[in-house]
Amino acid sequence: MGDLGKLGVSGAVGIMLGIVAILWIKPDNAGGSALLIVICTAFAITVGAIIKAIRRR
Amino acid sequence: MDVRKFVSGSIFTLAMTSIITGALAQGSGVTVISNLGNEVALSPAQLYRALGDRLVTRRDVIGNSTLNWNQIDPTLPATRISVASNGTADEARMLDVVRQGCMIATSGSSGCAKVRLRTKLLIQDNIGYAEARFDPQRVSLPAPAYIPPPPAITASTPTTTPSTQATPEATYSYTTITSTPLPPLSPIPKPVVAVPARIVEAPAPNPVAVAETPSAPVFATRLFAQREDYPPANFAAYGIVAFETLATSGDKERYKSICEAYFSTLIDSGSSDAEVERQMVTVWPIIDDHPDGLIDRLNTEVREDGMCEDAVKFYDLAIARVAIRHAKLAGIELSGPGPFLLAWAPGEKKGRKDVAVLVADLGGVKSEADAREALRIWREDIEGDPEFWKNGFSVLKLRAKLRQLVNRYGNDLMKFVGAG
Repeated sequence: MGDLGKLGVSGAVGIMLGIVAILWIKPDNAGGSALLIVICTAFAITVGAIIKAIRRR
Repeated sequence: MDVRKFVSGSIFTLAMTSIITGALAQGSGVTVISNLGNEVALSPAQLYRALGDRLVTRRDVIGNSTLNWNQIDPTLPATRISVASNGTADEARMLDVVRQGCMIATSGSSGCAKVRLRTKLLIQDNIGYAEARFDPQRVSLPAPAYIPPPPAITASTPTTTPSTQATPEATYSYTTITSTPLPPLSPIPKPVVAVPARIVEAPAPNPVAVAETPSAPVFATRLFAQREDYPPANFAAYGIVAFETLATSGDKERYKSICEAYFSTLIDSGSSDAEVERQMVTVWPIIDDHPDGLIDRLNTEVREDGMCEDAVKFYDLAIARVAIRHAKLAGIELSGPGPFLLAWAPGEKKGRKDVAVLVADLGGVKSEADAREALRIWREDIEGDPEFWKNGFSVLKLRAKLRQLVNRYGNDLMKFVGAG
């Protein structure tokens, strides 16, 4: 659980986005759903990091 | 009037007329696949304008820089001129035909003897697909062993001096006659002056329902058609299922699943209640060399076993490639393995640049469900307003594409983590 905490807000947002994407795209297999979660989480964390970096400047 | 001069002039006039009219009615042996997908036999004069290295007139000679087929005939595609031949024997025969075409186009200019072939435009292609092909068996012109030359007319002693030289060039050496006018040669097309490639504007097509009244409902239908029936006439628009290659043992099932989705998603054109002017038909091309009754068997509402196997087996790849080329001509980027669904509205503008083309790339289709979904979206798109076809984007298409991607790579991901 401690590791999950490191995901932060960005990770949580990414997972939520992934769930929304699954509901919209409706993949035919579990692999597709997992891929969507992974992609959305990675995307959200990346965006979060970029925003954080901009704010620090 | 000098009787001898009159007789010799008349004989020459008759000889020239028979040569010219005979040659016009005969073929050069070169056939080109036209914008409509059918084979067009070129006349010797057209072949001369396409392959001759110079364009001869009575006054001067210019280098032939004609680039594209549509400069020879507007119904031909706007692609680079090239002719597939079968070696040097064919080239020699083609040169004969080109020179005879020159004679026809220029009413017998002596410069025709010097015309040669633009050999860079000849390709050695015995097996593969070629847009234009030379078949010596189809040349119906007589071999140019001897063409009766005109009488050499002098002021005092009119004489006829047939050429006795054996060289091929000598057979075309004529003395220009000025005293005996030639009959009018209206059917002879003028030589093409080299101009940059362009699409010649065709006459305005007949008004079609979709173009005149965009709000009128149209219906997406299907039609299995052989080459002579393609493109189907009178439809509001027409499209085609265009595969890049024929089916192999490895991907036959995929082709069949696309065919089955095509069958199940679109209504048979003949069974539709809508008149053809309100139908936007998507054609599955079938080669002419098919078993008797196949087309009738396929064009039905009810699918039976083996139908799609036959439809895939007798698929007409040449028509598909012409369609893909025409879509590219209209500025559509087509890449990947395909197949593609292509539609033109109005259908008469197929092959021109200024036409709306609807495209669906079925390259990502792996299963019958994918194919059915793609065809369903196609049907919705095609029944929509063609004005929006150029946009080419819709949320539905995006979702279908994303689904294909995540299904494919999701499986790979599961296998990678050991869960698949």
